[in-house]
Amino acid sequence: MPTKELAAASTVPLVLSVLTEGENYGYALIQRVRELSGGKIEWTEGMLYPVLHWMEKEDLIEAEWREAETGRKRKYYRLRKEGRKALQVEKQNWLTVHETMEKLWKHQPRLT
Amino acid sequence: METPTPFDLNRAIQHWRDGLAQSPAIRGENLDELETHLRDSVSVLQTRDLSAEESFLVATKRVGGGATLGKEFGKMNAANIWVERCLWALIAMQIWSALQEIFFSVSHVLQIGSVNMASTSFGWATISYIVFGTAIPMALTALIIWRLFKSPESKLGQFLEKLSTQPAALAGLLFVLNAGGHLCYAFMLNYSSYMYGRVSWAAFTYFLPGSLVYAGLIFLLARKRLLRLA
Repeated sequence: MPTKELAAASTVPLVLSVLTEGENYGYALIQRVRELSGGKIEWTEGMLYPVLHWMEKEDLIEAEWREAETGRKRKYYRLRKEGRKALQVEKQNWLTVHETMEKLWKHQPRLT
Repeated sequence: METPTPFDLNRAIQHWRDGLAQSPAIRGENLDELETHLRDSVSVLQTRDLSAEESFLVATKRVGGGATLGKEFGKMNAANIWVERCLWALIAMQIWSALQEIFFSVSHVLQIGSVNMASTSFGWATISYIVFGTAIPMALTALIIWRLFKSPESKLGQFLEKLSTQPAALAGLLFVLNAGGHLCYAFMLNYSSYMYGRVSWAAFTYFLPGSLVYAGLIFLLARKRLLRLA
């Protein structure tokens, strides 16, 4: 379970990444992240929505209310061009951090 | 023996939604989206052999409480919160100002206080001025506003909530209340030593422009709030 800060920092890149698989709605987005992380990434679910709205305002994603097969109205989110660009930058940054840590940990296998 | 009341999912969800709506940062569309989320979550949990009530409890816990969510939504809708705060501050100020004039006037007419502050001695007149002109109206205003926040479902709360969706009526009523206060004050001067026998229309008209400006501000803010609520 990542710390609160890490969870907050990784929300945007995670959402952008899940949306590259196609449009999706809030509840399913959370399920997808939970499933991929093997249940290790658990968000306070409601917290995702302010982030989604912020991303919408920043033109990273676009949203549309549609009726689902259950008859329930859902807000579907889709990636925009700006979102894809932002994801590229995010990816670079996260990989840089990841690679750096990996190199360090290879030299010092014991972290005590 | 008490029989437990059967759990009504729709009612529980409505109640939960009303609770979230208390936060000025969570509005219309946000509530719809959160409700859809909760219903999705409840449906999935129910397929895992949980009762409706258990599913509801787990689902609401996962979504998060009103205070945390309000804070997060607030970061996105900061302007909403300030509109709400300013509107309430203005409403409170108008109530206070009207109460102040009414109390002060009544106390003066009943000869328990005096408006004549020309006297430099600190005596009963000064004390009554502080008590009737400031302390009592302020305490009453605080009481009214506190009650509104504490129990929005009370008659007064419902009345004001309904009124707040009609900016013109809200601004109008507060203006009339204030004009009434000024009128009291003007009539009170009638009784004061240096204006004896005359209703001070000058005192009345002197206050009107200010009240008009406040009414205008309240109207604008209430309308802005309404547009955001939609």
